[in-house]
Amino acid sequence: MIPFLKLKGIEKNNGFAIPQILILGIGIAVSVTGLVASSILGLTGSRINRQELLAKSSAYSGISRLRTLFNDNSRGRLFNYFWLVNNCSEEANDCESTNISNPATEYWSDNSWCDGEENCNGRQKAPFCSSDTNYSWLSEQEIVSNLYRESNILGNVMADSEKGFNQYFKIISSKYIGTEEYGINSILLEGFVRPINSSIKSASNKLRVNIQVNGVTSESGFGFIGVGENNSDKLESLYLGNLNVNPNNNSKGSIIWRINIENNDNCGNFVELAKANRALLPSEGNGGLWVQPLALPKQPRLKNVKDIGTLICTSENYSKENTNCKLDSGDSSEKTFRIYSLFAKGPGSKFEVSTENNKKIILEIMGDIDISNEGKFCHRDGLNPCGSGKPQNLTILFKQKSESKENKLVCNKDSDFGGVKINNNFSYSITSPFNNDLLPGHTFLIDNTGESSNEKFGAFVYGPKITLLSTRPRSSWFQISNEEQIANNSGLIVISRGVYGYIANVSGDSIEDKITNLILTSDQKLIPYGSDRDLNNIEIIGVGEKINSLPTNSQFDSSINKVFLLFDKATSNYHLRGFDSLNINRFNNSNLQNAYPASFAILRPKNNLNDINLGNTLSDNSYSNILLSAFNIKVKARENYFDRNFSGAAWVKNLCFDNIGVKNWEFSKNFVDELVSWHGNEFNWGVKYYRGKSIILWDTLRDFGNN
Amino acid sequence: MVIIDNMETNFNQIINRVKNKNDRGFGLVDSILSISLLAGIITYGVYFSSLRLNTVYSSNLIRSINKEIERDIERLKLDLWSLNYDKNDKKYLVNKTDCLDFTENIISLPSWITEINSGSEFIQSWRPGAERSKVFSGKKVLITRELKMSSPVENESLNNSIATISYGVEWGGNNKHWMSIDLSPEAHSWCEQFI
Repeated sequence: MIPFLKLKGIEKNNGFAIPQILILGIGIAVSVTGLVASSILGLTGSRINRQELLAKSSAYSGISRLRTLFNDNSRGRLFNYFWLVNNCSEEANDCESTNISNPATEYWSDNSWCDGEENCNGRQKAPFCSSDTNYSWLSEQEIVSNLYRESNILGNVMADSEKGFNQYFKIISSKYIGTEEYGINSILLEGFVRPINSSIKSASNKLRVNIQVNGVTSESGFGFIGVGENNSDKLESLYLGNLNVNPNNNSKGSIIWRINIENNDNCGNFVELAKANRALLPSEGNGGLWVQPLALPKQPRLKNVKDIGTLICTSENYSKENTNCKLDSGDSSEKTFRIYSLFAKGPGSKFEVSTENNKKIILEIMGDIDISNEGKFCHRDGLNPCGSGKPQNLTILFKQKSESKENKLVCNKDSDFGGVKINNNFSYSITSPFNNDLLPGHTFLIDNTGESSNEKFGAFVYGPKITLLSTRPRSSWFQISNEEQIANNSGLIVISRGVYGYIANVSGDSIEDKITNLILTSDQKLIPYGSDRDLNNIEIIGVGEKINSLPTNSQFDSSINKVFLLFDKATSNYHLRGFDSLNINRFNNSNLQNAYPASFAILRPKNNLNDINLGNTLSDNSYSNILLSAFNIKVKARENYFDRNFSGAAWVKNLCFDNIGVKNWEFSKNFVDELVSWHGNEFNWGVKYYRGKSIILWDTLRDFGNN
Repeated sequence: MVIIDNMETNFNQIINRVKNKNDRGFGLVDSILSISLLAGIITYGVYFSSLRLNTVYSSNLIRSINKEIERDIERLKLDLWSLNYDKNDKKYLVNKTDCLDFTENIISLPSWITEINSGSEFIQSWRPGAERSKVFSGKKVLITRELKMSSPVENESLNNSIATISYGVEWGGNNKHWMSIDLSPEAHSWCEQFI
């Protein structure tokens, strides 16, 4: 038996029936339709691929546009500062409408800049005033905001071609995280595609891109002169006067004036405010005066410091064997000396430092430097003549201990003679212990740089708390206290903390001999060097001690043994004036080291008992000579006014020059290169421009909810 | 023997039933309908097969063009990255003139110039061959790219640093603006600011 061959009811089968054929047909139709559908889907997939490519290209283009805009290097344009701020469109979570920050009203947080000042925002991230009047922050903001506010269309029309889609990008937000030197700007944007004549997005590519931002100082931006310590230093910290920057035609470099500017009133007026109308500064595009509170680098780290105390480099002290008034680094490639205060004042006075490329010297100054009245700061290159020293081989660091907030030194801009004045020159009420923070900051006075034009003072001066002062006194006479050792009077008038003071004995070795004493007026105010106002309209020329009796017809108080020789700038008369001393600090090494004054010498009131008018000259006036001899004061007429030639860099609190004589400052790229090579790249300090360089993150399809 | 006898009996019964004059079988109407349906289905299948082949060809063509353009963009990006890069100093050396306008540098890039001289250094064309994709066999597709240099913002006197490259594709009777992209040389990020 074969069961499968047994067909039950075969007599009723009707062969290959129509329903079966129909079912088969439908099956085949469904299969073919499936194939068609898959074909159409395949086409759709390739169309989507193309639009994805378009959207990706759009997003990439957005990054290119933003990056090149912010990296634009056109002179006067301010776009590079937008790397440092946060911007957002209305699509960002942070903003309801497009908000483009103004970098000039954004601040770096900086406690040392604010120095406890209330309502201090910090340091401005960008210069408030544009260096080119054709551009303003408002116009630059508007251009940037267009990228954030609108969808930016891409591409050109190609001739005879059919365009099916439009490409767009829109920047959602950008945020900066970092410091003034370096950071990352994180950009969120969307590239998308719309079919022609449609407002619906057909493809989109969302991107999070992080770009590394670096601040770079250019040759033109290097700050050969940096002025301003903190937010309280305003427009009185700089007096450039008739300074010529060399080389005349093609000097490159900047003078950085570190102040926050809060309104437009002073924009375009800075040359006048710096009293630099007669200055010759780098030409347009090569630097010049730049107003922005850039962060100063910290001072270089010192090691193996040799303490050599206070130096009073009279001609005799200079000539002594093993004198510290002649320094070199010996066999060392670098040597550091700590000096409390340095005075080279009067004819023949000289402080000499010899450096070479492989024998560099750092001077750490705790107090003041006074190089004046024909005294000389001789920086030589090896054994070459004075003035040949290369600025990149000598660094002078000032390390002021006291915090001078109350009685601040500022530049005296009241006349062409320059000098300094004191903002709140208040009367001192002597208390014990004396608060040394009530004293002004230290100063570096240099009124000449040598006899010939080849002699330069070349150094890198780092003193954010001190005042660099180069101006000449009005008096035609000065005291000689060092040529002859006068038994009872070896005193020396010095400028300490920008005011007149004196040293008791330039030949002595004790603390009492070397420590400075400050001079107060009879109403107990300090006498700034160069001030022309109020009652401080005097110069102190000399200090004397009575050795002979006075003429019998003199009404001068015979009990007065110590006098100062004064010059009254208002009347051009010279006076002898008695004074009293009042100790304010102990005579100890700590006070000597920190250049705290030991005493105040308080002028007696101006009257016949305390003051003798010597007339308007000290040369052939027999009466004045008799009186000066009685107080053992020897004077010399000021004869030569030499040019003042500087090279190197000075980063100080105040730079106070004058408008008389000739002053030159050499801006040299070689100096910058060598300085950076010695102290590190952070000392390539000056106007920074910012560049978005490497792309360090490229993240696609990020949710906008986390922007 | 019994089994063989039974099989013979059953087979004879089937033959007898087929021979039965009352069984209708696969008639004329059935045949006509079947043939018509089969013809319809075959026509339908052939039509849609050709449609699918056409669709697949278009799809492959679009994908291949996309890839070809992507490859071209990547080559340009690579050249733009290395533009003005000094391998010895290991840094970008870019002068002021270059920073103001990168046009000359870009049209001199090795990847910018293609084999077809289109008469303008700003417009370059090429016909990819089968080595790039089978769909390019016969070199019937012409890809053209057009360079326009501009500043990042219109109507502003800024650096000419944006290279807007537009791609057009021609094949058959089609001439399509395929896409555009803005590229910029990496060296622009190293341009020194004029102060």
